[in-house]
Amino acid sequence: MTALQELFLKELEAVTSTTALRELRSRYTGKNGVITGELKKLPTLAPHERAAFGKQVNTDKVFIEERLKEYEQVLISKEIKSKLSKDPVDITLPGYYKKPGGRHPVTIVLAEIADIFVSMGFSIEEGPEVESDYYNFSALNIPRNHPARDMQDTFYIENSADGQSGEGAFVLRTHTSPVQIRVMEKRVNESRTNGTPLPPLRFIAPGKVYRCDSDVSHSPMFHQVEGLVVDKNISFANLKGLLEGFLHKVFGPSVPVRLRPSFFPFTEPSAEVDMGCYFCKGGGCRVCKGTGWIEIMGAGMVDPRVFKNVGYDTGQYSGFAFGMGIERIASLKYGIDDIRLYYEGDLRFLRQF
Amino acid sequence: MLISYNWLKEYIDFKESPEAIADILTMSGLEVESNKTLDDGDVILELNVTPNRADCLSVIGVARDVSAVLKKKLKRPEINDFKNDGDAGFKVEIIDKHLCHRYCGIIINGVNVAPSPDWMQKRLNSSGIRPINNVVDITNYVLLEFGQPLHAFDLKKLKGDKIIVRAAEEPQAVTTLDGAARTVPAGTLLICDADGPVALAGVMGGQGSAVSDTTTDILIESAWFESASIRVTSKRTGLRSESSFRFERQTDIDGVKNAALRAVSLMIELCGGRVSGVIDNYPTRYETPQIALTREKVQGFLGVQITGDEIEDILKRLDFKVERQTGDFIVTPPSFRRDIELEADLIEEVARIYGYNNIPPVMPELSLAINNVSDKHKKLSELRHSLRYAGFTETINYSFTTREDFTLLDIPAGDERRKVVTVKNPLQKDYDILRTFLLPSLLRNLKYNISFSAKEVNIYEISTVFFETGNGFPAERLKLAVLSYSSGGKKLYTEPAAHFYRIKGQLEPILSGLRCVKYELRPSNEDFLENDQSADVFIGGEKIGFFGLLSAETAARFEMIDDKPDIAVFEMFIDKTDAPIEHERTIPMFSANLMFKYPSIERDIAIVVDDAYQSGDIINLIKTEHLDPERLIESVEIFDHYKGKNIPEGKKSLAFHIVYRARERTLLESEIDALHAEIVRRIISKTGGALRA
Repeated sequence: MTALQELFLKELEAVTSTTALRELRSRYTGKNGVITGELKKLPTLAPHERAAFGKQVNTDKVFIEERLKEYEQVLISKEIKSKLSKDPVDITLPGYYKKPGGRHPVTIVLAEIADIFVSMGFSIEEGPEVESDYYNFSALNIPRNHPARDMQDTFYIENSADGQSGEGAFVLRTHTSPVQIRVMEKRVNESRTNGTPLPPLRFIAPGKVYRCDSDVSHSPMFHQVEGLVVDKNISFANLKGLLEGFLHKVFGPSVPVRLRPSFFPFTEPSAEVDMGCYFCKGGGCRVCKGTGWIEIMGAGMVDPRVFKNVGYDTGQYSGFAFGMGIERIASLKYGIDDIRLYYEGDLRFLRQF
Repeated sequence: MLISYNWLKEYIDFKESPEAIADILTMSGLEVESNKTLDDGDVILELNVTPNRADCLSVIGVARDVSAVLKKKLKRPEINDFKNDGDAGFKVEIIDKHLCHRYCGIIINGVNVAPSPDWMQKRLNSSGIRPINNVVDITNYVLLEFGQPLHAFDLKKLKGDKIIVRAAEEPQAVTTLDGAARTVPAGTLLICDADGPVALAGVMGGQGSAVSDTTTDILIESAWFESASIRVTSKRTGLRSESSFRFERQTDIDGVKNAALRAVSLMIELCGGRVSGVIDNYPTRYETPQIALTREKVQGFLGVQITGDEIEDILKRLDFKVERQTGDFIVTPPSFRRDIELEADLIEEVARIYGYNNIPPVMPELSLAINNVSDKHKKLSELRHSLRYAGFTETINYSFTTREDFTLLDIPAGDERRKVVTVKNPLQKDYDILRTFLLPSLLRNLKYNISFSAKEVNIYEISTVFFETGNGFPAERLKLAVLSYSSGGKKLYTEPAAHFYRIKGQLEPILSGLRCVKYELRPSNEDFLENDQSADVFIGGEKIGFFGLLSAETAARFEMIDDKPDIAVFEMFIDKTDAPIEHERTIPMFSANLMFKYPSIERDIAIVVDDAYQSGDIINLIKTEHLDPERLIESVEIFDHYKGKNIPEGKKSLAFHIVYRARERTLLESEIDALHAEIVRRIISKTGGALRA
């Protein structure tokens, strides 16, 4: 160790703050510092001594700079620590952040359903909420004055047609099934234009639907998801397989699922899909009205009359459709007993989700 | 429909318990919704009969399905045919043969009207029908048993010894059995005597010809009326009866006479009397269809290995005629199954009796296909996600609203939002239009929450709105609305920005999330927003939304009076930005900026200008192209906005940070010094401002 280095270290030991360190640094390595002063001696030396001396000064310089840098880190940390210790935090105070808002239970269930079907290669389609009489009824084999219209008390749009349920009438769609017609029609037109065969069809159509009904379990507006699968060789057994798989995914693999005959004008055979009561496990309770089963969706094989309306060849293609109410599924999942809660915008309810 | 378990048992021999029968019915298409045990041990099952199954609106109809499932013989009641004991000289004339396909009338003289026996009264009561007298009760009993509505007239009260079935040519006054005087419109199918209407066909008899205690001679009517006509009459009069319910769903035309004869047998047994006339007028014959069916189709469609014999057996048990031709069938459905028209209808019959439970669940095998999936779903889910983590809760409100919204929010006449779609039959009289904007719903949500003492309300809604177009389908657009309310209560940490900037801070990431950069903000012209605290959002000259603070007057109109109303809102269309939400994934949506390879040079400007200048104006001056033809300015950000001490009244200080960078070379300090100085000079000369000391 050179004398200069020893002297520097001694001075460094006395330094206790970054300010003092900066002062020391400037005194040694600054423009008019010690190092510069040493270098200024060069011209006074004999030529053969100059190289060795220069090298020595440079070694000293590197040594000093490195020590300064090291010690500076130590001092900075020390100073930060002492500053913080004068202002200690209360670790139990809440952090500063925006509390996340609630998701709407209908949105949660819709997304869950969409994810399951998208994972199976289904696409997501949409249709208008104000529908023509044709798409909402006629094309789905629900003719004028048919008793099936008893099931659906429909909102009609003013000035759309002279009589209710006539041609040219517009309604707030009573189900998402019109999307079936719209999508199949589009496929048939594309296939005719391009001269290509009809591709396999599988989609779901989520959306709002409307019926003139309002009480604890009925809402004039609610959400449905429609599903359609059309291809060659689609069977009723396939419908059972897919819906059973779907319900097992949503409600757990052990939930029993059964299909029983029902009636929808646009499917034949038609089925009501029941699952074992979530609450009593089949023992019978208020939710399942003592039957041990809960009606969860409607389904069936696409009625050939519907295929005919959209121009599909029933000799080649078969398919199935299904539909379910989202609020109903959400109510079962979350134990909600009043459908109106979904539409009141009550944050005490919505923030739980 | 209510069905007695004991009654059902009269037609089939079975040992199954009521619960087992309920299960059989439910699983073969007649859902049992509830059951009730009576004092005498009988069990009444409440069935939900779907509209296609008119044949099951009777005890025998239900028994037929049970017998098919249990593979047991159906025991039908014996029907005696009656010949005319004498010519009563009575005539039935059907004028509108397309509305009345068959009319059977049977005349019985010398009946003794009295209460019906207990067993019959009990069955009627347990099926929900009030007993009246033996004659009327028998017609109702046969209606329940066979599903064929019957009517008994007091023969002496019918004028002119004839019945005429015709549609009303003009509005007609009729007093029905319930004592109500009604006027039915032209076209209503009527049963008339020589003087005029004596019954609303298929719906209700007239009071004038009703059977009373003193009646001795009666005419029993059993007919087939066209369903749509009965439905219209029922709807127009608001009268719904056991008869109209069945006629609307189509009755069994071949069973018309049988039902009448069954009633006659019971009348003679229980009321005495003798038959003096049997008239069966059947002008419009029913042709039963013949439907081809193949075993392969049944197997393929259902996905089960069912045999030809099983198919044939099931159909025959349901009273279908089956002709077999080497594995294929020609099937003729019975006259009470008008719902059966096509092969698929037959397959359903086979499936429901075979048992849906016996069909195995099999996942479909589908070939892969590229679907034309739109980004919309994904973008909306991202949008919901970011709003959620910014503290907003999603609400969903009804699409219905009231015209009062326009007054409450000062929406001017002629505004697009007034082009509403009206609902003809709303549930609430005033809520008869569909929403064109979402703000009023959110304000109602806010008010509702404030009524529960909410101190902070941060909510949003994404929904379709509807605009009248005048040609059928309304225009359906997608909107997002956001509302942020704070009661100004005490908080642990202070908010870093004023409410206007907080709501704007919600809007900006949404726009950029929708890849929307070319929007423009202008002072808002919405009357419901505070004048100097609001802006409208434009894209390509079209207004897509607004944001800002709700005006105190509007808050007061919604009865949300606060000493300092602090309600920030924004609403915009999200389906029509410069990268539409429906965008399909066909091309890259934007080109990434790759300028980061060369070092940047950074400079700040702090300038004092008149209040009238907005920071955006200065940024526009900085970015002026003619000073920077090479586009060396990579970014400009404001980092200070200050008014107050050391700044003259009416002025403000703005400070900007500019990053310069060249695409393909390293910049020289000297060139940026020159460019920067030029920019500073330009700002000063354009604004008359001064560099901040």
